Amino acid sequence: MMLAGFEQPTTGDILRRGRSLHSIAPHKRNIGIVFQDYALFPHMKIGGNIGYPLRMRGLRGADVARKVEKALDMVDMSNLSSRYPHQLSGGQRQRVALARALVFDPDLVLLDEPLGALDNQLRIRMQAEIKQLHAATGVTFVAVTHDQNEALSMSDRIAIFNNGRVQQIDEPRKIYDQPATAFVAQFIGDSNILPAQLVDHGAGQVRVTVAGMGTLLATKQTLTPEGDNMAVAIRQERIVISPAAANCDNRFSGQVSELAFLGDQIRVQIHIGDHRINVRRPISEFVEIPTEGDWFEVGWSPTDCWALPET
Amino acid sequence: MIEAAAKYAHSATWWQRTKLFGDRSNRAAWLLLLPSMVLVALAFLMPLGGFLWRAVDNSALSRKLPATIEAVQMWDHRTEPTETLAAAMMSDLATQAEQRGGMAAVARELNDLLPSFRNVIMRTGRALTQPPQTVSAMEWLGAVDQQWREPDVWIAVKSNDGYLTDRYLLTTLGLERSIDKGLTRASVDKRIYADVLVRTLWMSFVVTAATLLLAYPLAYALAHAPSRWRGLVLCAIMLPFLTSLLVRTLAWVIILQKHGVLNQLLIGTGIAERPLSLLYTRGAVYLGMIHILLPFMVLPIRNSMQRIPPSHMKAALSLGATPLRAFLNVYLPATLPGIGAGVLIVGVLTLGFYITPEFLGGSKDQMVSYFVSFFTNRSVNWGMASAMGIWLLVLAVALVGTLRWLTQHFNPERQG
Repeated sequence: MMLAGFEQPTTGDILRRGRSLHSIAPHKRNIGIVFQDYALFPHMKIGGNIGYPLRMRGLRGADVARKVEKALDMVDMSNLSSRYPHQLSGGQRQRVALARALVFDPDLVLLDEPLGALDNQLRIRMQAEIKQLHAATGVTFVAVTHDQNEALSMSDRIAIFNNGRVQQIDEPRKIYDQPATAFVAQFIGDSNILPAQLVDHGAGQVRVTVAGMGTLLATKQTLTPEGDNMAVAIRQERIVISPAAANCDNRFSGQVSELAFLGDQIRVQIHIGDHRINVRRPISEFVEIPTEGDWFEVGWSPTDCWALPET
Repeated sequence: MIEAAAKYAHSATWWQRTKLFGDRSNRAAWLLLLPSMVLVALAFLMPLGGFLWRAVDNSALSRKLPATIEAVQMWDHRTEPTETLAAAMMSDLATQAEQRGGMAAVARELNDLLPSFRNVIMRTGRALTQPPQTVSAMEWLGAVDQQWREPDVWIAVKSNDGYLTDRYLLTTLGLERSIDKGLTRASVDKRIYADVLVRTLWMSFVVTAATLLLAYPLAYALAHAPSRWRGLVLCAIMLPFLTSLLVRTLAWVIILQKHGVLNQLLIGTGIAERPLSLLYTRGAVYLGMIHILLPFMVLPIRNSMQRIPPSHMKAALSLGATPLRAFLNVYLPATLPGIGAGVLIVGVLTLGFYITPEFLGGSKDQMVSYFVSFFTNRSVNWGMASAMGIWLLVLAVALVGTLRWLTQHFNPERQG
């Protein structure tokens, strides 16, 4: 909303192509926005809605009609120009909102939780369509979302914010494989986060102790702190179970406190010290399915265990 | 399942198929509505119908003067009044004179047709106590009062010989129907009612427009102000709502009168040298009416404003509309249903305003309701009272109809 100019930053500035946006009024920013509730004007037909930004820019008659038609074609809605928004389905409204945000060749398109109101199947289809639109128009899309899968599958680059601060800006794969902070590790993917104390620095690795668990080896990341306190993060699906666990440098066993059947996988929660460690493995790897209270051995490689700053 | 449905459809009687009384729950709903519908029929529709009927009812004349009406129908009005007419009138009057209040009723009916004819009737009634023996009826009547010889008297009766009459409705429009069935403009003293109708329409237009202009920003403040201000403003608007209309009108009298609060303030601050005559003016009436009606306009508009998602204005701005154009293109249309509702309520209420113009206005500021009250309470002319009432009803229904049409044509969400 700050990008669009509806809120003012308390400190700092937003630059676009080196120019400050601070003093530019919202209606002069040339940013197309797709709102969460689409914000289609209920008293205008679809054609009127899409033509609105063009008319606001002084275009008239045939020019507007031609561009509206092109925009409707782009989102596969060519024959619905004379409908009213309330006569359309959720997915169709989403497409109209996209067409309206793109029709005036904006410098930037802002998508505010664009798929939040759609059901799961439609959401996946719209994700693909938005990606196609993005490729076809070449305009920069900035999408805001709380859905990690949406962020991973749709983006070229992801910026993760926590309490107004950027945690990490990177490509989706890097965000997933090399999270910069414990917050990122927890937010994207399912991770176990453990508070840890530094024992010593090695080459690319650190040795830490986790209260109640003992020492373990973790990989250094760019933001790994020099000081004593840090957090280690381990992805649920990177933890292995016996018999493979026997070969790991980090090896622990604990009592099973919870079991969840996820279809192709099983998630086992075990108690080690005061910590609960979640492990997610394919069913086929289990020699036998444990029950609650059983002792269970897990292990992970130091490369899958990241030493990160605390959050 | 399908079989059962088919069977049900087959067994359904016509009134079940109308869906009006379709199923059990629907019937229960109608049953619950029944008492209020009976109440509306008995306490509202029937008295209203009876009252409105009096605007065209002319049966009193044929009831009181049956022989005269019959005789007048045979008479050619281009000739002199005949002996038959006079004889019929005399016998009718004689019959009425025997009944208690009979003459007074005849006098009232005829006075309505012929100004100041009441005296003629009453004098004739007194003369009838010594009935004539020898002279012709016309000579006797003419001796009692010269006016009986005038064709106008009989023409007036002849042109109102039916059970129904349009003379009240025509009078309220400033028109008259002569014996030759042509419509003409009424004499000046009878033309005032048409002016009253026009004045009522104009005043309710002014009040509605002014209320709308005042209410819109107020409603905006109520809908979008920070919540602690919102409560205060709402209180200020709703408080007068809880006091009676009469009390609020009288409060304005106290404020506006010659030595009232406002005049003292004006003189005290030196703005005015002498007390201004603020009361009994059109301005005072407008002021009082707008003050009383403001909440009726504010509340529905605020309601429709609160339902506009904030994203709509942001969307318009992001699409390149200036704040003013975003307001005109997106915000204003979304508040039209509220404006429609407010205009409807205020418009209909102003049409029927009575107390406020009566207390705050002069004789030139009275509206239709004043004359309805005047005709029922003071001159006991039910025909005129209900004719004025009919126009009030027609205007209100026309207003409702127009606004309904407008909302259906400019509010797509109501369609299919």
